[in-house]
Amino acid sequence: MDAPHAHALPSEALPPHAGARPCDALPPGADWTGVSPRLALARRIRLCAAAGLTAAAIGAGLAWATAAGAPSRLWAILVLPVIAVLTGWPIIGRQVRAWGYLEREADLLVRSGVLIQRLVIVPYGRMQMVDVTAGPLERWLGLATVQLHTAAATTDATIPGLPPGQAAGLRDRLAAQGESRSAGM
Amino acid sequence: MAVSAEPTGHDGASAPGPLVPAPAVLRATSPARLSPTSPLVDIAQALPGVLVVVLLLRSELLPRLPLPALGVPALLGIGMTVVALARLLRWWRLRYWFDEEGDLRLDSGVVVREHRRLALSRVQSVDVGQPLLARVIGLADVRIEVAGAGDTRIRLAYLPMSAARDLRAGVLARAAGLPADVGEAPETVLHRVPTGVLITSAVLAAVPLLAGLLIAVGGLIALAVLGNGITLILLFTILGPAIAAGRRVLQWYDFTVAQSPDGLRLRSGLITRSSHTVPPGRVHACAVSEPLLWRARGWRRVTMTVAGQPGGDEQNTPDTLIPVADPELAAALIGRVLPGIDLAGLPWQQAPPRVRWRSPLAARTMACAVTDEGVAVRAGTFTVTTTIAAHARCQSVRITQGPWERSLGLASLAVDLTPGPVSLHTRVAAHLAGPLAETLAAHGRRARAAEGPARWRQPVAGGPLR
Repeated sequence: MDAPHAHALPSEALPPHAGARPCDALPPGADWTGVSPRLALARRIRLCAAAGLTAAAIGAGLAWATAAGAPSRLWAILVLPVIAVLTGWPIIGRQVRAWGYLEREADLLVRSGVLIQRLVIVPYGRMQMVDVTAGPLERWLGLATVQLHTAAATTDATIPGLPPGQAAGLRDRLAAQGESRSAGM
Repeated sequence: MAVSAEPTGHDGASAPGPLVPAPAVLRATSPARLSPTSPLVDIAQALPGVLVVVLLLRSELLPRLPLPALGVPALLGIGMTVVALARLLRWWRLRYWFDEEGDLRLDSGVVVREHRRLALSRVQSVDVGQPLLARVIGLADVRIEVAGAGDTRIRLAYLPMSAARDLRAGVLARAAGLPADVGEAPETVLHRVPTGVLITSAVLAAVPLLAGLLIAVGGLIALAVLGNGITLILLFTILGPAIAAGRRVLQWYDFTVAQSPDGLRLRSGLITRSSHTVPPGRVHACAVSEPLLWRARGWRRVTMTVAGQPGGDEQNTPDTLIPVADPELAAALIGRVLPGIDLAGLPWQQAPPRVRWRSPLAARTMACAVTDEGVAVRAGTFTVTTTIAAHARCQSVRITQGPWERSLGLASLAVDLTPGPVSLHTRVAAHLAGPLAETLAAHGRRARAAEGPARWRQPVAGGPLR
């Protein structure tokens, strides 16, 4: 558990009339644990890479097309990947700030999303498996993803962007809780 | 159409008094093989397909091949012999038995040996099926499904009908924690679906599809020049819904629901007979649907989710609790599989009228209800569907809110269930979503703590397990 990365979301993130945004308001005044800001970096790198590749592919296509006699103003299409990066950049920041989890006595709460907000409550007694994964980019940035599985395929409880120590700690606590509370199917 | 009788006790004849048996004797059995005729049944079932292929080859390919006159029958004979030998070997190597711990063991495989062990305390359902051919010669297959991830289903095909019954009784006795030689539990038939009702319901259920198709085809014909093929096109249009209705009748013919201490027995089928046994407490959720044209008669269909392998071949999963029932029967059956849930007396909370701007078709009846035992949601305009799950079987609770919902002051609430035909989600006023989710979580906690033992007839030492 390296505490520096486990920062609570500021309480002013709660909207004025909390009832209208249930995913923010539950439970009132709780101390959510956020994910590492480095997750934003990881996602922005991925966004830029995707945009760059797209731009390169478009560029190659355009070079061939203009050589074949297409009008050169077609190169304006290349502005699209740039727009994607410019709009995606701040959205990623907001998304990463919105991600959080809360360990309660009997269940784990995970919330995420800005435009489409999600909140999932997973009882410890229902967890069948806890996955910790880290791709190459995540490993390089010192991040890991914790994912909870229940017997339902639709349970979507994923917490990305945790420092490996924090992720392992969470996994161990969840596993211990799940074992002591597990119930039959 | 009413539930006729209460179930009698399992050991009502042999041991009077409370239903707690002596400490379970989990007797091991010696390895047994399937019926020696089962390879023949398998081959006979594949025969029509083989014949078609052969005939096709004969007319298309073979005349060009330089083969002697006797070549075709000889090749065919050799092929069949090889297949038959392989089948025979497989039959020889497949053996099953109960071990001392009350689990079912299965040894199989010719080249790659496979040993499987099914934890019978986690049995979800036991089915005995009789495809036409097997039925003619008195054989049956047994499918056993246990809870868990991965390959949790085995099929033993084929056994003589009496052996299949014994196997089912043995599996269920061990799963219940009873002495293995207790024999088959007595059953009480609760309801038989009358054939007339089944046929009428199947036809009525197919009418909207037919109407839709006719409108679509009518549009096509109106667009196109009125040509010769109209009768043919119309024929094909009617054929689809007719086949659908026919399949329903064949599959659910003489649908019988019976209660036994081992759980609910569901039997049905005109050509292929199947018999499902769902042990107590294995049903996670039910869905009651009322198609538009059934409403005048008050009929409804009840499907259910039993934990096990998702997907799979649909005909063999016991996902229909009753294909057509009146309200009282549906409520009575749901009360049996989801104890404590009273379908008629659910405290419905109607969703706010503004829901129609987000889900116009579902909004008219959209509502949710939470009781001490379970949670129910209702939605639909033409077909009204009510979904009910027991709190103890809910896996997780989700709230989502998209921008459109946010501007309407709504939120989506979903309860995650094990994979199956039933899913539970609804829309509620945004300020209620949080409290509702918390209520469901609290109910789930309490219900799980009060869970019974996995072996449902075994005496419990010191209260409920875990």
